[in-house]
Amino acid sequence: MNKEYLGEFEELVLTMVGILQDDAYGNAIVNEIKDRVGRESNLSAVHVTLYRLEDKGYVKSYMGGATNARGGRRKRIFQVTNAGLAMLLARKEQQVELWKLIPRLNYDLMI
Amino acid sequence: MAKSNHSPSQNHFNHSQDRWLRFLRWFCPPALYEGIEGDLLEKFEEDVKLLGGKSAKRKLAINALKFCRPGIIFRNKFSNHLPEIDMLHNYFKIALRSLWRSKAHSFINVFGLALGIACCLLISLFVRDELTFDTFHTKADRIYRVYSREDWGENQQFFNTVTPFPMGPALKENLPEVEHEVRITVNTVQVKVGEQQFNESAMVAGKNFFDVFDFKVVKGNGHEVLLAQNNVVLSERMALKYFGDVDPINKTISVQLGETFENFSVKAITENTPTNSSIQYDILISELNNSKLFGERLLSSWFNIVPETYVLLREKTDPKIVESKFPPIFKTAMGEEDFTKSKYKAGLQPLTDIHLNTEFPTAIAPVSNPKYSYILIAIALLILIVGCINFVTLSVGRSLKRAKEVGIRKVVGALRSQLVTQFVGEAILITLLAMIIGIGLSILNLPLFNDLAGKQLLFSWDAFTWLVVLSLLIVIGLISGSYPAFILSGFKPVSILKGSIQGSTKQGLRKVLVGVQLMLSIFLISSTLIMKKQLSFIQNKNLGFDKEQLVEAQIIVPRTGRLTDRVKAAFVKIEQFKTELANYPDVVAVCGSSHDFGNGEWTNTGYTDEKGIYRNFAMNIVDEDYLSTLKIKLAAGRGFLKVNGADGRRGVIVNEAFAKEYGWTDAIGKKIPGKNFPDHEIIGVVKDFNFGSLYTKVRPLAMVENPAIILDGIENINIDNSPVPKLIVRLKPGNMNVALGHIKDTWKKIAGEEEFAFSFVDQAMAKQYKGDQNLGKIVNIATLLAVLIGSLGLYALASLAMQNRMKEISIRKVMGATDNSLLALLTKEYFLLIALCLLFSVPITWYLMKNWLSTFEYRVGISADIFLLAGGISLFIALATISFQTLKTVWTNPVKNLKYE
Repeated sequence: MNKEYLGEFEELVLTMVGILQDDAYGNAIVNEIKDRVGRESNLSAVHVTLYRLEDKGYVKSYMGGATNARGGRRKRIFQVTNAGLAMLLARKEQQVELWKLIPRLNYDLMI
Repeated sequence: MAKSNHSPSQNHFNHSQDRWLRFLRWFCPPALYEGIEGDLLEKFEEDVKLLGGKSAKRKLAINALKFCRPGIIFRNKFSNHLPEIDMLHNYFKIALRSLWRSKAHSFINVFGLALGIACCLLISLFVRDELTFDTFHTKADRIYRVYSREDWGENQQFFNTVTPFPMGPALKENLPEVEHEVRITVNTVQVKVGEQQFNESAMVAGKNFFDVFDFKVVKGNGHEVLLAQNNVVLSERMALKYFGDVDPINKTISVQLGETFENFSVKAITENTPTNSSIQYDILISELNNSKLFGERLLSSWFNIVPETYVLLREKTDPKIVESKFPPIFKTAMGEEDFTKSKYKAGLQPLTDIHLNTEFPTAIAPVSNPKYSYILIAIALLILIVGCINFVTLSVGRSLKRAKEVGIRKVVGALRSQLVTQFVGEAILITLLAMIIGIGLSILNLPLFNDLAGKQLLFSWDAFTWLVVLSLLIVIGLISGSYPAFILSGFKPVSILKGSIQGSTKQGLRKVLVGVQLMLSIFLISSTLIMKKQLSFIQNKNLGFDKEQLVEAQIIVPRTGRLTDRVKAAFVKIEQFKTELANYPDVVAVCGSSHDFGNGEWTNTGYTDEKGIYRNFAMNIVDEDYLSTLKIKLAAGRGFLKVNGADGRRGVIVNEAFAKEYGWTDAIGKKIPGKNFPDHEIIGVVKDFNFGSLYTKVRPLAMVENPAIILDGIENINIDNSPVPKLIVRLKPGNMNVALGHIKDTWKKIAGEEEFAFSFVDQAMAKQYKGDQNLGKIVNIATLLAVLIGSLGLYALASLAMQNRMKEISIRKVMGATDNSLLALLTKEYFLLIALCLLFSVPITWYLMKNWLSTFEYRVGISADIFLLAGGISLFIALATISFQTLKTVWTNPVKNLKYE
């Protein structure tokens, strides 16, 4: 298992965790994905992805406080770790580098 | 710190009750559970607002189910990521590859095991049904059936599980330990529903029936039904038969108990009685009706036995102690004199003991021989063993192909225990595959099996099935996997990798295993042959009368007055039939007879003769056309003559067994030597004919037209089956349906709306042997399967052996060996093997078959030709299997096998 590898959906979820900050938990991420990218995602898929990211060390989680909503159940809040942040940054730079290599776009940018 | 304050908006949904969430809680690791459930509930609340409660609930279920995936279930199950997990991955991959590489062998393995597993599953269902007989009653451990023993001196010991009518009440009144008593009789009655009339058997039971036994009441109130005389309980199937879909409660059916039909009101419907219940009923009425069914004398006498009596003892009561209190009760109840003379003893038999205990006489509750279960278990195991042996021989045979893999693994550092794990795991994987196919096969073949076993078994995934499936999986996997695993893991890496292991190792053990297979095949083949011979013997034996083309029907007469009056009334009706049926050319002959064939014992009587010896004989009341209709041959004297009125009054016809019992050479003109028989004379002796089954010898028999001759002179009578006469008609071969139509028309004319229920005598007789016929079929199928699996295994093994000897054979060919000599060389060892197996299997077969045959009084012998034939068949099958491979090897061009590159 190559730990450096990050899947497309994993990257999306990791980004959302970063965006949501202190309110990053399963259902919120599903909704956020829908709002921001208009993509329907499955709650269980998001959860499994979050746990996988946790295994890889890109996020860490803790239990939040209870509220009246959701049957009084606590939320599992996720936080991006330093490794996760580094990974996101590396991905971003990687993509920018790759972008630059596409000739027509380069041309557009230069104009 | 977690407080759960439910907001009022969601009160309509109680999430802790939701089964999907409960399911989630079951598989989800506890550490993750709260977060996941919270998210699900939050999503649910959103959905309620968006889509409404109903579809939100559905969505919740779907979402919860979607969490059932390995990423969630197995998370944190393996706390440390052990290298073994990766190895397991690898083992799995290699196992699949090696399965795939040798498709033929894998198929033979899986197929053989699957058949064995299917047999085991089916038979486990059967055995469970037999072993759990009557255990479904919640008070089963406290319910007992009363039995009695009488000993009147020489030859007059009686042991019965039916009891006198006063027994139940006497025990209940005198013993505080007896909580309830229930007496049960089963009676043939006429039932009218609307215009239709049916011939049914009704159970008459004590009022506490439902307090003792647990039959599920679907509609109505079972506990109070039997308190009233005019109430009736129906089973679900009977309610459906009578009323269809209409609610049967409070509907009326008429039942003829005495002379007239009486209305009964349906007050309760119970589930159909389970197949594993000793007590079977479709119509149940209260014993308050007994006075209409049985005479006053019968109901009060201690020496007329009719009902089965069941008692429910109070909790924590020792039946032994209760039994010890019996004698004084009987002494007062039946009087000192009778009690001492009869040496009356009674005891309690546990309800759950009834079904499989053949030492107690059969009464109403059916008894089955546990032997039948053992035979079936043995058969299932035999097939399974044959399948397992295939597995072992093939894996060992193929071990060379995997030797390199083992060598490399060992060099890289695999421990022997790891290799064993790998190969046993592989075996379990194959077994799992076989298991899935086997389960499918057993479900498909359940109807066929039910038919053969005479059961209505169902396949359901309960704890028992899981237990059988899992234990089969582990046992088969371990047994068939451990030996190959032991062999494979024992290879020395150096010699493997140097290539110095040649030829197959452990040829000896494989030969023994193949030998066992062959032995089982020969055993099964010869058993099948013997059973076939006996069963066709039964079918075709000359019974002393002609059973073909005979139709019989029970004559229905009102249940009133004395039995002899009813018999007389029925004969009057039969005379009417004779006159009417004489008009049809398709009807050859018509007669009436108290007893028919294939429906159990004829009336048995006993008396003490002039010398003080107790004698038994069967009796039958017939008319003057009986002998001619059945084509029974006379040995001496004559039959009853219609013109001779005295015959009807005082004539007796006996069979040869009767004459032999008394040592008479010429019985004509003799009298039955008892002092109480009224004036009579033996006018004819018939040749013995098998009126019972072929399991028993022909007993002495006396036939009369006037039953008083015998009834007045005997001391004991045992009536198992109604002696009310049956109409027996012999038809002309050919137009069976037309002739039956004539009888039906005549029936309508004479008997009116009464149900015309007829049967063919030959079919009724064949039914007696149904158990053994079915056993024969089961053994037949088992033989086919075992031989099939066995020869597949042999085929695969031969192909492996040939591969190993390729070079040898090629060199022999080059040196000038002919095809024939090579064939002889290669098959010689199998001749020897089969001869040896035949030798071993003969005594086993002989012993077991002797045992089975001994249940028949009339049977075939076991002769040597059967074993020779069985040996021949297996030799032929084995050679046919082997020679295909052998010839393929012999006929290949030796160059192909000998050249390098």
